[in-house]
Parts: sequence; structure tokens; C-alpha cells
Amino acid sequence: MLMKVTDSNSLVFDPRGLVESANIPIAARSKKLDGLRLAILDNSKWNANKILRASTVALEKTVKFAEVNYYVKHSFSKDAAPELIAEIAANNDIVLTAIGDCGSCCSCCIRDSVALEKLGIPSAAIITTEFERETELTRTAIGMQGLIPIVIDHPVSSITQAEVEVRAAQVALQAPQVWLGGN
Amino acid sequence: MATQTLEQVGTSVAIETVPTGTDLIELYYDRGWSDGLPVVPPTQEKIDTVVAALGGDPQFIECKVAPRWGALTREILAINMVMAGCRPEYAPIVRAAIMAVTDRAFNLNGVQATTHVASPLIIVNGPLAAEVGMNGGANAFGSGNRANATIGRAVRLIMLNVGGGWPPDFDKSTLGHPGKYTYCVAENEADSPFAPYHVEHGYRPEDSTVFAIAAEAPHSVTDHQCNDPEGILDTMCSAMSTIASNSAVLGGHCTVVLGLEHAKDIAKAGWTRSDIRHYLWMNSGNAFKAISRDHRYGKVYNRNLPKWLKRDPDSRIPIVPSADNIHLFIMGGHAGRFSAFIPGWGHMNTPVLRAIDPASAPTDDGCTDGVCAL
Repeated sequence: MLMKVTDSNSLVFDPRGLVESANIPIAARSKKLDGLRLAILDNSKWNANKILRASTVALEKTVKFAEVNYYVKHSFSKDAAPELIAEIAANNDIVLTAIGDCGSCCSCCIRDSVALEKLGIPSAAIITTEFERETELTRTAIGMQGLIPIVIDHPVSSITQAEVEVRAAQVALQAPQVWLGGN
Repeated sequence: MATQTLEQVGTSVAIETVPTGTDLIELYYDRGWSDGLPVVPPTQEKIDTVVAALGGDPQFIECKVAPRWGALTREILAINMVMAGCRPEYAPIVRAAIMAVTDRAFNLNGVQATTHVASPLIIVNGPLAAEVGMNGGANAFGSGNRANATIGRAVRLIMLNVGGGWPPDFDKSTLGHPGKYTYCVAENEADSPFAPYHVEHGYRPEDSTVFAIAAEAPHSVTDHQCNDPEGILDTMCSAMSTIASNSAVLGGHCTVVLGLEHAKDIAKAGWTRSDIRHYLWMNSGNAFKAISRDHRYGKVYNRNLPKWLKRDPDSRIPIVPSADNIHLFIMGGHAGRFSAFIPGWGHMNTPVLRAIDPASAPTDDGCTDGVCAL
């Protein structure tokens, strides 16, 4: 039996602290993808490069990008450096980033996407099914509830090349919807 | 578990009156404001005492805590400290620990979210540790000491309640480890044959500091035979050289804890802290073919390791990139030939050493405002 509190303990104090969270709109969407410059942001997680390269090939079957520029951030569990975000935003029109298949890498993929969206660049972060709830909470906590991720099957880090191709097809299906929004 | 991770609090502190006789411990459980153990229900008097120990001004925001980014006012800090069972005199240590883990270099957002087991390990140096009765001696990492237990618990409660790091939503750890309840110790400066950790890093012995690193649980290192530095440290190297830790494949920082018997034998041979750390760095690690599994699952480069490391099959991959990334502490009781290796989370986390009294400043370079990114 736990201790029964007395009359003097009749107040309850919320220990959580105030959250100041805005809801910033996502970047404006283009009407078409042809002719846009695509940035690939590889977070260096296991198989991120394979997923991104296979996805690019799959996307290029239907979209004629003006350029495809490849960027790598050194740490999958940290936000991309502000100068890398600025460089991507200055030289590209849309972004595809991966892979959010772990707690910290998912969080950071979403945070990178939010940073790019704030700079006007529609960004599609690829996460896995295990991290949909975390993505929802993260985008709410940092104030961009309208950010839509690309969701592919979990896992990613230990899959075969054939399984990579299956997930790339999932990316190719969803990415245009994220980049174009309602347009 | 908490369902209100992102619920906003309308005022600085929401205070609710409940009917006389309400079991507040159960109520705090029901709200999801516990780490799983019973909390001490805060009273206004207890909160005020802790706020006074923090310097007053209850609405002063010390920091925001990721990934929920809740504002940690002194009042909220005090509420969580009371809930953890802290005495008011622990307040400067808890505050310094929270400021260390919320330092940008620490990457608390990642530490909270990771699927890895890591949790912040807090190690306190300097006279304040002894003044509040912290334990760096026998059973230092174990139970039985209020200061160790409740300072560490307060840090964790703040990470949960203010930071929102509740499993399974924001804390995605596959397994977690017991240090996610509390993980706070002191170095055994009184019995150590070496200068304390914070003195090695430029502080004065009379300064008090907190060191914070994202860490696995301690891995015991047993050696009842060797009585010389090389023998004892080779045993430590064996523990460090597993391919199964994040340190092995992601580098970063790690912590080595030498027990007193081991430390005294090493010191008797005239070795310094620097000698120990460099020996460990030179003689631990793995061949690249081991961590690449000999390319059995495809050609491996491992982009998470430094570019300057050779990737030939027999190339040695050190467990962390330099001897300075090995953080050495002396702890434990007088009896027992046991030490410990504590792998880190990887290069994603930079440990932080911070003065508890902001007026204390290290005497070396690489530190600003009493904070050293290591």
C-alpha cells in the first residue's frame, strides 16, 4: 500500500513546463516536377545511399529533373549543419532525404526537412513504418504539422538489394505527392 | 504511460487543487508524470525552498529541453527535484547537469530519441560532491546513496516530463538500460592516486564540475592476476575491443573507470592519466575486417568512421578517434580488483564538462563561459 497523502498535500503541480509551439506552414508547392533541381540529402545511415540512389532512378523514369545534386551529412543522429542546409536551399528546388529508420535519425531527418521547408524548399523525408508516431510528434513539437513524410517498410539497414528496390518503388510513388502537395 | 506528451500547459505552472485525502502518488502516476517509481508529491513550501537555492526568480527559464522543447523554469526544475526526492542543496548540481545535457554539443534531441540504449551519465567532481554526500566509493554505481540516486533521477524526470522523452513515442530505445532511472556518480577523489578528472581538464581542485556523456551501462572489467600497468590495461583493452558497441562502429567518446586497486598499482609504476589513456587508445580497437564482417554482406566503407582511417582488412580501427576521447575516472571501494568500461553512443554525442558555479572558469583553452566541449 502506498503512502496516503495528508491534507497539506492537496495541491498538484504540473512538472512539464510550457511548450511554445507555432504551426508554421510548409513551403509553397510547384505545379510540376519536370525541370526542377532535386537535392538528395544522404544522412549516412546504413543503406541510406542505396535507398536514395534507387529512388532517384525510379523517379527519373517519370520525372525529368533539371539537376540531381547529392549531399551527405556526416552524422545521421544530428541535424544537418546550418551551412549545409543553406547550400542545399540555395542550389535546389526540392529535396529527398533519408533515412529515418531509427529514433534519432528519424527525428533529425524531420528536423532537416522542417529547416528546408522554412527556407522555401519542399522536402520529402523518408522514414520507416516504425517511426510514423515519432514523426507526427516531432513535426508538432517543432511547429510544422503539415509536413508529410514518405513512409516505407521497416527495416532498412539490413535489407537486400531486391528489398531496396521494393522500398524505392514506394518512394517513387509517394515523393511526387509530398513535393506537389495539392497542386 | 504518458499520453499528453505534447499537451501544452496554459500557464507557467498549472496548479490544481484536489479533494482532501487524494492519494497524490497515485494521481501523479495517473497523469503520467512518474518514471515508474513513486514520486514525492511536491508542496509549495518544498518548491519554494529549492527555487531559493537556485537563486530565486521562479519564472527564470534555465533552458529548453528536447525533443518536446518544454521550458525549464526554476520553478519547474524545483518541482521535478522535489518529485525525485532531492534535498535543496543538490540544486546547483542538478541545474549544472541539465545545462550540460542541453548544451547544443550534447545533442540531447538525438540521445532522447535513439534506438540505442544510451542515457546521460553524470559524474560530479570537486568539493561539492563530498559536501552533499555523494558516493564515489564502494558500490558507486549502485543503490543506497540519496544524492547519487536523486540527482540522477531528477535529471531523468526532467528529460521525461519537460523533454517529453517518454517511451515508446519520443524515446525509441530498443532496450534501454537501468541508468534510465538514475545515472549519477562522483569520482573518488579522496582515495584516488591521481589528480581528479576536472583538474586534468583545466579546473582547480577547489572547483566543482559536472561531466555528462551519453553512455551505455558499465561493463565490468575483472583482473585479479595482473599487478602492472600493461597487464591491467590490456584487460581493459579487451573489454573495449568488442565489435558490438556503438563506439566500435561510430567512434565518438567513451568512459573508463578504474577501481582503486587497479589505479593504485598503475600509479605505483609511475604512470600518469595521460599514459593510461594513450596506452588504452593504442592497444584497443578492432581490425577493419572484423567491423566490416569481412565484406560478407557487401562492400563496406563505414562513413561513420573518420576519413583518415585506413580501410585495409588488417587496418586497426581504434575504439575512439583519439586518446582525448577516453574519459578516465577513478572510483570504487578499497577492496576488489574491478574496473569498468562504459561505451558511448558514438560521434553523435559530444560530452560536456561544466562548472557547477558559473563563476568558476577552467584555466585552459577550448572552454567558454565555464563550459568545455570535449
